[in-house]
Amino acid sequence: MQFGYVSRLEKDAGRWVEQGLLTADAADAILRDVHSRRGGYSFSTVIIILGVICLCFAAMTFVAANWDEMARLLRVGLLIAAMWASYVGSVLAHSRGRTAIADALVLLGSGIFGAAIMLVGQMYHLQGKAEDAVLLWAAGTFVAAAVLRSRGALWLAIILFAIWFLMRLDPDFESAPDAVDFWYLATWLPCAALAWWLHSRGAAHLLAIGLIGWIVISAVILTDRDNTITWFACLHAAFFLVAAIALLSIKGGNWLRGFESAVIGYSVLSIIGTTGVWTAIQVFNDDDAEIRLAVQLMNFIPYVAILAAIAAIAGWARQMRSTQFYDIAFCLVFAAAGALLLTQQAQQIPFDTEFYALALSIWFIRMGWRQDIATVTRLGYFAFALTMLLIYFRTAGTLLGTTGFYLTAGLLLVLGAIFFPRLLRLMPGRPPGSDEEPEAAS
Amino acid sequence: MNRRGFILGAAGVAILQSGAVGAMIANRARNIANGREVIVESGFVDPRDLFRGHYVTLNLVVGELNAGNVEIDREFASDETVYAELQEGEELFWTAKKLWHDIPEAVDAPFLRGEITLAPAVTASGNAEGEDALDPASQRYRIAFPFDRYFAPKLRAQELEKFRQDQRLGVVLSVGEDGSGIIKGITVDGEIIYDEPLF
Repeated sequence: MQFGYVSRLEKDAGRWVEQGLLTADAADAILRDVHSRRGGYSFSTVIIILGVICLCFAAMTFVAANWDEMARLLRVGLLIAAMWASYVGSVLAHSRGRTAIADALVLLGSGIFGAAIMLVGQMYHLQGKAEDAVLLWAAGTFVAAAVLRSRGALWLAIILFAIWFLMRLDPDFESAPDAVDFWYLATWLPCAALAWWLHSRGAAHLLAIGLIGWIVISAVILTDRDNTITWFACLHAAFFLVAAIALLSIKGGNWLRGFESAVIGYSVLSIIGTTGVWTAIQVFNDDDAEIRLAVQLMNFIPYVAILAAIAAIAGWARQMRSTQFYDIAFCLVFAAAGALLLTQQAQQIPFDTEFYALALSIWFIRMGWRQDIATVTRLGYFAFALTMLLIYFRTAGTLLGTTGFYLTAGLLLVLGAIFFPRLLRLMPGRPPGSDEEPEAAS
Repeated sequence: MNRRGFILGAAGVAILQSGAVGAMIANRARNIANGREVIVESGFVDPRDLFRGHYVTLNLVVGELNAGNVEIDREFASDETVYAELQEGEELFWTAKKLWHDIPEAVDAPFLRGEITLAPAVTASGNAEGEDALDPASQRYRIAFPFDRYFAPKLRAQELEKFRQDQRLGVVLSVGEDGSGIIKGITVDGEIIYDEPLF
């Protein structure tokens, strides 16, 4: 249940009763139902999980502190017994219908499993690669999550697989790996399938963050290896592809079970990130040798394949007369425009990147409204502010100067304040109650 | 999920996870039982106190070799896997005889697998530009072995700390056929002061 949902519903129900839309009895029944469902479930789950995390640490520090007096096999026996006790506890909790507690105890069992691996490694002087121990822990935790349908254990497994991936990278980047580590994807996909099966939004968020991290690191590796920014351009376009898929799913197949809006949010955040890096490359790269290479981008098969995929999705949306066609078409336009920006010709147009970033941020704000995703709208404002800052830095000390910047920014804001609300009223599919947003912008 | 399914699942998970921990211990016991015993010298110890317990860092002598004192099958680069062929030394310890890229079938000696962290070409002996850097005797191989620390009970770690610089510390290793090494014990001046039990 969303935060603030109940109090909002109470206010709304009161208004609806006053307006005669709802009888007082029906409003009471609705509120009773909502209150009964609230039941402290989500909050108590949080508290239980925090408690379990404390217990995990208690188990680890206890064994570290009182270790010396015990025989080695006794210590191992103690750890195994603690692990079994957690699973027996989870069975008892599950049979009494306390699924949240059962879930937390499975997480505890997996935590003790990790402690056992570390401590056995220490006691018996097993000193292979540390990442192998993390992988063993992650795999055991994943099995527990899958077999016992435990979301808590799934979260832990996702985090451990991400740690394993990071440990496999060269820590000092002195000898950067020349190949992308696809093994992380091999662990990511089963986790994603399980998150989908268990309807776990928390796990989905962790997976999204992990995947973005993996993609960015892989793009850095490829860019470093090939010494061009073509792979980086692919990365930029790929985020538009992900957004397009989520846009199609949100009003259609609902393939991600309601996680679409979060995926769009993560895509928008990533696009802002890549555009920022992109801009930095252009601003700080006086010798544009690398940028000239990007002229070849339109011949670069992975890039063209990504554009073709977005175009196919747009075509499908149009065929189905989906209201999403508009935003998906913009995904294609912005993904394609990204490549053009890096060509030699575009370098001669003043403020090309800034125009691109401005258009992008306005689209984000608008898409947030159309899709009713507040986060996307907020990210749009954030991108707009960043672009303004960028324009300021680029105009300060030039012919245009800071006065020119303030004049432009002021005009934009005033004209925007006059015309934006009118524009919004004409906009189809605008969700109700979004009137306060433009004021917040100015 | 029904009750019976959950009970079976929980039992399966508990058995699997316990089995994984048990297998770690069993594998080690098997490797110790089947491995060849060698004693290599370690530089003096550096006690640490981490939250996971006390351990001492081992500076193995076979991990720091003068290029002039060891044979190689061919040139090594950093990050390459290396197999150090060991021979019994004149005194208490085994020493490195030759560095290999792979374990040769014809040689019947224990091998320790490690990773080259520094190869002579990039070794700087004070001034990298000077002639010293080109002198083979001053060039070194540095090899990282997976067994670079010894977790000791608190009292044992404090004892190790007290040993004097003129005493010679040895690490008893059980070396497997694949070059893996497991610490079996610690010696001081040739006397075993800590003998690792199998379990």
